[in-house]
Amino acid sequence: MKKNKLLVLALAGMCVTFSACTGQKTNNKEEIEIKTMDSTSNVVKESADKLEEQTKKVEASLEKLDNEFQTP
Amino acid sequence: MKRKMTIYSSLFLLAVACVLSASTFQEKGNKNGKGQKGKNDKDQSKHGNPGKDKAQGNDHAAKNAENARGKNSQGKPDKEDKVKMNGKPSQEVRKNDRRYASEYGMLGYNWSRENFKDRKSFRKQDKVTICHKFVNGSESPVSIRVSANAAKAHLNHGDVMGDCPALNDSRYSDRYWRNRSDYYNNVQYNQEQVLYSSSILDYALQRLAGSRSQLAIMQSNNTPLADIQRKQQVVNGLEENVSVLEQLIGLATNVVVNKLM
Repeated sequence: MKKNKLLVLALAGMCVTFSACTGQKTNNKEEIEIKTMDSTSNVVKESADKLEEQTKKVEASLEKLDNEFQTP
Repeated sequence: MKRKMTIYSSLFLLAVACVLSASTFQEKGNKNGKGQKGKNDKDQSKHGNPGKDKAQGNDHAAKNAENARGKNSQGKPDKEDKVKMNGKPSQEVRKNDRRYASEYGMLGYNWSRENFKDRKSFRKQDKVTICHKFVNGSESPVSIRVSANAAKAHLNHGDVMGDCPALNDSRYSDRYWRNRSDYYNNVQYNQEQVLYSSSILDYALQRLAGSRSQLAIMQSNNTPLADIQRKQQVVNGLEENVSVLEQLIGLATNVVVNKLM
């Protein structure tokens, strides 16, 4: 009787641990993926912004060039 | 007997409670995401699972796709990207850029002195929403905003206008789908910027060559020194800006190469 009780208790404990761990694992995995995506996304955005800014500078230089060299 | 029944029923209730608490924990994660809804919410709830990109034949593409899905556990762009980001565009990168561009038919800019003045009207920046499908089909499609110039090319590639159809995938929270959509929107923005900047770079290099020739002719024609110096200064300024632009194009290309393939 006492043995059975212990066995059931052990099984219940295992069930609890397993359920909790599975839930946490899924959530942690998603968190890591989100963080990585955000980080890469920021790098991508920053590089595009810098590129846009520099392109504007080149465009401005080209306009100056147009003024200085009127004939093609 | 009664006592035995009580013990068993308590154990059963305990187990049920634990299972419930585990599922609540997961749900909590989803709710956290909902709390940060933004303007793109509509897009994010409509995507499927992140897919199995490793099926791709191209290792680099698989690596990039993994990055896109957040497989880099360090939360940073992968090592290869970092290394390339510090250097000038390699031949392979420019080739990849061109390949991507030609696949999407986006190399539509061909500047001359005349149309360069009206470049803003050539570069249509109005955005439309499309459902972008990945080439190998192993990753779920994603709703992205693209410029009118790029839309046609995407449609030719099998993408469709409007948001992607809704998929019920409870494995990831709304927050995950929202961030995924933001990520691909940034990739698209970067890609469009790279293509536009590359066209400006090509035009600038062409103009630089022409200007240098003109300067040489002016020097041999005894043009006043002050004029030559002024023009030389303008040419030098353009050269410096072109050099920086070239490096930034390389950097931006490496960051996004193959990510939307």
